[in-house]
Amino acid sequence: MTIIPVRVLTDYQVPALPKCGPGYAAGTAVFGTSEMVAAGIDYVTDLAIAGTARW
Amino acid sequence: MTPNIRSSRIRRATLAASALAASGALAGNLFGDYPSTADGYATWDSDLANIEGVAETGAGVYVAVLDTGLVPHWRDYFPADRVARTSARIRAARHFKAKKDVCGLSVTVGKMTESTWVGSAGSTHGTHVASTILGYSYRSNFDAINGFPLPPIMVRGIAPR
Repeated sequence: MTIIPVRVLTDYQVPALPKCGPGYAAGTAVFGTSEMVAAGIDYVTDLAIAGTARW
Repeated sequence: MTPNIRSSRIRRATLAASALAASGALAGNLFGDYPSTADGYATWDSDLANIEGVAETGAGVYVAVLDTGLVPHWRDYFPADRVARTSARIRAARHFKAKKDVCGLSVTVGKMTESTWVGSAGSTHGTHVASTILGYSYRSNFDAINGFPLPPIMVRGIAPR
């Protein structure tokens, strides 16, 4: 079994949100978007179609 | 490493310590011979999958982990030949801008790009997921430098071969 790590989630610095609800301090968040996940699925699908030639 | 992942690793590593001493199987396949729940050294995930009753080992299978990538020191945890090294990093520029929404914030999305995966210096979640699948070594120099326990422990994964 071989792991194929595909990074589709990323760390972000989120600024303070003083006007949001009770107000939030600046912090970090890890997230991705549907587009990023879809691009990752496309990537590994291409690998599967091509066999193991790409790695 | 986040506290949750670290505490999970330490808990699971502690449970498996005696199993390692009994097997003495560090040579060859690093993970294949490690016990799961058969002799009482359970990891909760392998126990949950009732792994003693599963004949499949994962041999010949590629598993894509779409997550945060692996930490730069992933070789401390996994054999190098079990990780595809040309994997992708899907990136999209993010710009946080104050808008007229209730939180004074919105996100605009820039052009999406794909580049060769070079490891993540941030969240360790992708490494955690990979360790659940593959198993892992706890002999991490990175963890030792940061003051965490460094027992010579191997923990079996769900698909160890």
